[in-house]
Order: sequence, then structure tokens, then C-alpha cells
Amino acid sequence: MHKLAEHIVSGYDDDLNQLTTTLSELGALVEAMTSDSVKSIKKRDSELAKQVITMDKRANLLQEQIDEDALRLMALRHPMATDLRRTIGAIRSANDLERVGDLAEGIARRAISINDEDKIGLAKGVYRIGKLVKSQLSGALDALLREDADKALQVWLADEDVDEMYNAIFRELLTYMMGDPRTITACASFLFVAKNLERIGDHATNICESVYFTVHGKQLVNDESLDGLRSY
Amino acid sequence: MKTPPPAKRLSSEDLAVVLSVSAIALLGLSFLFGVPLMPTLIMLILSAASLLIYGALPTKTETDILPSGSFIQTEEDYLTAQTNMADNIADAVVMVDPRERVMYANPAARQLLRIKELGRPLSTYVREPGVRAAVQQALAGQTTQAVTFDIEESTERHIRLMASPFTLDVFDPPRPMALLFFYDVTEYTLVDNQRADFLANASHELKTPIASLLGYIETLRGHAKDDPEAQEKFLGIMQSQAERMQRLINDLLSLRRIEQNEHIAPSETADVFLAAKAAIEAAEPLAQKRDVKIKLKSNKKRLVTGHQDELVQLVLNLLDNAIKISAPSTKVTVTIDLAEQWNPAQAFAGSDFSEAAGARRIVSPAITDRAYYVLKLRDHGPGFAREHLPRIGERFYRIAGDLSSKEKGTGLGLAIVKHIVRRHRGGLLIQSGPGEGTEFTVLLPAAEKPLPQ
Repeated sequence: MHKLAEHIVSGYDDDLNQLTTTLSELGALVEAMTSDSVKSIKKRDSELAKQVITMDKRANLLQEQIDEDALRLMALRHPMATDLRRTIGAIRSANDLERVGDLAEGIARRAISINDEDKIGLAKGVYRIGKLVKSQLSGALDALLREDADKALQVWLADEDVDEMYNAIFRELLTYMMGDPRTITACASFLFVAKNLERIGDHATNICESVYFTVHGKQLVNDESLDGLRSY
Repeated sequence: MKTPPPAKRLSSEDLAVVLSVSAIALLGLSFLFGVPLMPTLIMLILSAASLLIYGALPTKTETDILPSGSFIQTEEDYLTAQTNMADNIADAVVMVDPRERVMYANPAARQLLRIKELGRPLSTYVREPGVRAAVQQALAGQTTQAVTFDIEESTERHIRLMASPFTLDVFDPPRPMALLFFYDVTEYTLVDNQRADFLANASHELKTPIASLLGYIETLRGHAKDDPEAQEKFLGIMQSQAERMQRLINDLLSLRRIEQNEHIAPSETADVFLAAKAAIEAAEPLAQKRDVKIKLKSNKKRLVTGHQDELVQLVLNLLDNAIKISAPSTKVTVTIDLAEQWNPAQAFAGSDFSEAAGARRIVSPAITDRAYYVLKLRDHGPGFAREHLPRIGERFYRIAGDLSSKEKGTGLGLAIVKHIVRRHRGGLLIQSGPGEGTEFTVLLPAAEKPLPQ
């Protein structure tokens, strides 16, 4: 009898662990897609961009798998309290990560067309926001897998730096376009890339919000103890 | 003191040799003296049998190799000793079970991968797909190639993993596990990258002053050969260019030194109050020249875990910038306070900046809810426009038209500050608004037991 009980508990733990492992795999994949898509612009490497585009299929598959696993877990094991929030959190985060994959794919498609044009030295701002967003995404994934609400809060707060940087790039590119209309095509592509990166940053904060909910059982945005955290 | 030689004992090997030698001797003798063969053969068979028996006996057991009187007596002792040993290995060691869960992690591994509890899947801590592949290969009993991956904590680290199959035979049936060794190879990778960066930066930034020096030397040898007045003027310019190069080289060297040690947090104790005082004394001549007053508001003994000289350099670099951009007859204020339980909510709380001012966390402290000393440095200069804030701390970034480019700035001062803060596992925040001035906030982890105030 005792052996059976142990078996049930361990099976349940296994399911939860499996969910973490798949999330980790999906996270690593979209992390790589994000940094590779920026790298493909930086190094003018259209082959790398094509690889990123094919990786999106795998991201979609993994998201479906997480959805199915989470649904099965809820149907068969009836998780309660933290485990329930953890399962819901996995579904929500997987959804965000899949969107990150789509956005990275968009950047890669844009990279191919940018690389067809002559090289212009305007992309520095894009690499910088790329680096920042990549570290935001990594931070969010660390928080998600370790269930670290403090880290989640930190990443969530730093999102305003991403927004600020996006605005700076927007103004910078606008100045270039006004100065020399020949750069408009390339600058418009860079704007698109910067916007996608900024959106990836938003998805990273979404993940942080669901981590916060998993750990504390309340929504980060409604938590009164955190009022006045944003500086502007 | 000499240890006495161990008492001679007839071991199994000695016995076998004696027996076989005597058997051969017997055989020889029987041939020589024509003794009937039968008894000799019996003797031979006997000696062969004795050889076999000794050979079949286990020659060495686990306890045999331990010195007699060892404290390790039972199997349990032996296991404890082994775990103890793994605990004290300086490299990170992790054991994972067939379900890829972390079953054991020594303290070095717990620190490196920030493992808080055992039993969770390894993918919680490391997402790198190559690592997972290597672990699965090792669990399948195959030998694997080393995998290198990055982890980003407060600084970027490069880690090399060796995974090897390992069978835990205290279980019945024995369980296949994987034993993982993680080596921190950051230092080697960084040295490589930095050498390239350093050369590129240094040669680019040194080109301008050298070109101008060469130009003036040419003029001094040509047109200005007989014009003492022009000579004096040119030599003055040449001196200031050479001094600029010297400052640049010094800055590059200290940046490189700090960068190289960045992944090793300082372990000694330093006093921020004394550091600030020393920096203010060093900056005083420049401040007097520009008619800027420096005020320090702090209690004595502000002990942090840190490196004294680096802290002096940190405050000095910030002060230097502040004095250079301050308008004459304004003041620069340095305050040091203790935040017992610092959390991100306190970052920009209670500041006197307007809504229009920008704020940015250049470095976020890795650990919240611990005691930090908060050093604030406020100037009343022109302040930075919002769009410049995201680039503050980038090396060689100088704001166009900013006074610091005409003055003696190398464009490395804040980059050095940023790296010192990162090495100290602290935080660096900036708040600035056009017309309002700038405030830098430095967070430094307080030493374990802050003295009562």
C-alpha cells in the first residue's frame, strides 16, 4: 500500500518536472532565436536568419506539448494551490514564449531583406536594445524556472529601460531618415526590428507577472505593497 | 623521528615462490639421483595446488588498502567520507538521476548554478540544449565531449561541462547516474576577448593625439624653426596632448585590470567613508580651480565588502565628472547612508527631481533585501537629456557638445565606475534632468556586521 502511494506522488512530481523541462527547452530555443536573429543582422549572415525561421516550427510544437501536458496534468491529478498556479503559469508562459519565437522569426525575415541592401552603419542602437532584451528574457526565464519572485520583480521593473531605449532609437532613426532619404528603406526595417525587440521585452515582463502570481498568489500589477515602484 | 620498518611477514607471493622453487629443485634432484618419479610428482602436484589456492584468494579487499587503525570501518563510513570529499572539491560537482533530477550538488556547484534545493530537474538551472544532450548521453552510459556554455548572473560567466556515466551500486539493481563536472573558464575566454578589444580601443583612441603630436613636430622642425614664441605655444599643446595619452593609457589599463577580476567579488573589508574622504582630497585642487565646493555628509566607519583602492577610484571618477560639468560657485554633495533592507522600491524614492527628469538603473544589485551602503553624488550642472541616459557607462561614449570632451575626459571614467560596481556586486543608478543636474547612486553591500551607529 505504501509503495503505491509513493508511486502516485512520484508520478505527479514527474509530471510537474516534465513541464519544467519542456518549458526550459522552449525557453532556451526562443532565447537562441532572439540572439541569433540580432546576430544575423550584425554579422550580415542570412543563413543564420534562415535557421531562425525554421526554428519557429519547433517552438510551436513545444508550446502545443506544454499545453497538452498541462491539460492532462489538470485533468488527471487535480493540482491545488501552488501546483495549480504553477500549471496555469506554465500555460501562460508557454504562450508568451511562443509569441517571442514569432517575433524573433519576424526579425530574421527582416534581416534577410536588410542584408540584401548595402551596408549602413545605423544599426548600433538595434544591437544595444537586442543585448538588453536578451538579458531581460534570460532573467525572466531564470525567474520562471527557479520560481524566483524577486528576480521576476527586478526584470519587470527594468522593462522601463527597454522602453526608454526604444524611444531613443526611434528618435535616432527618424533623424537619419530626415537627413538622408536614401536611408529610409533600411531605417524603416531597423525600426521594425527595434519594435519587435521591444515587444519581446514586453513578453518577458508578462512571464515575470505570471511568476509573481505563481509564488505569491496575487497579481503583480495589483499588489499595493509595490505601489510607486516605477520611477516615471 | 624515523618510523620503524614494518615487521617482515611471509606473504602469499613469497610462499608461492618458495613452493615452486622447491618443486623444481625436487624434480631436478630426482632426475640426477634416479629416485622413483612417483613421490616427486606428488610433491609437484601439491605445490601447484597450493599456488592455485593462494591465487584464488582475494589478494586485496577495500579495507586492506586502508592503513590499519583507520577510522573508516564500515561501508557507511566509507560513503560519508566520499560525500565529504566531493563537498570539498573546489570544482562544481553534480550528480543527476536517470530522470535528469539533481540528486547531489557540492557547495561549489550550489553556488555556481544557484541551486537551492535538490530534486529539481537540471534544466531548471541550465537551459543550454548542448548540456541536456550531454547529460542524456552520459545517462545512456556513453562518454561525452566537453560542452561550453554561458551563464549570466551579475557578470557573464563561461562554463565548461564534462559529463560522465556513473553507476551507483549501493542500490540493487545498480542505478545509472551521470556525474557532471563544471569548470569556470571565464578567465581564459575573457583574456582572449579583451586582448582584441583592448588593442582596438587603444589604437583608435591614441591615433588622434599622436597625429597631432606628429603635426606639431613637423611644424617645429619647419616653419617654426626660428620662432621662439610659436615654439613655446606648440610645446605647450604637445605637452597637453602627451598628458592626454598618458591618462588614456592609465584608464585603459585600470579598466582592463578591473574587468579581468570582475567575476571574482572582493572578500576584504573597506571603508567607504575613508574612500570618499581620500577622493575628495584628491579632487580638491580641480574643484578650487573651477570654484566648486564639495560637501561630504556621512558618519564615520561605513564598512563594506570591497576593495579600498577601487572604491577611491570609483568616487574620484564620479567626482571628477561632476566637477567638470558643474557651473562655477555651485556645490557637489556626497552623502553616504545605510539602507538596512534595500529593495528596488527604494531606488528613486524621495528624490528632488522633477517629472521631466530621466532615471535609469545602469547596474541592478543582484541581491535585494540585504544591507547596502548608499552613496549619492549630486551635482548642479547642466544635467543629461533623457536620450543620453541609456548610453551612460558605455566606453568612449561622450555626449557631443558636452564640456567633458573639451576637458580632460577619456570617455572611460564611468565605464570604470560601472565595472567596479559590478565587481563589488553592487548597484549603480542615475537620475538626471536638463537644468536640474545629475545624481549618481552607488549601492555597496555592507560588510557582514555593520557596527552600531
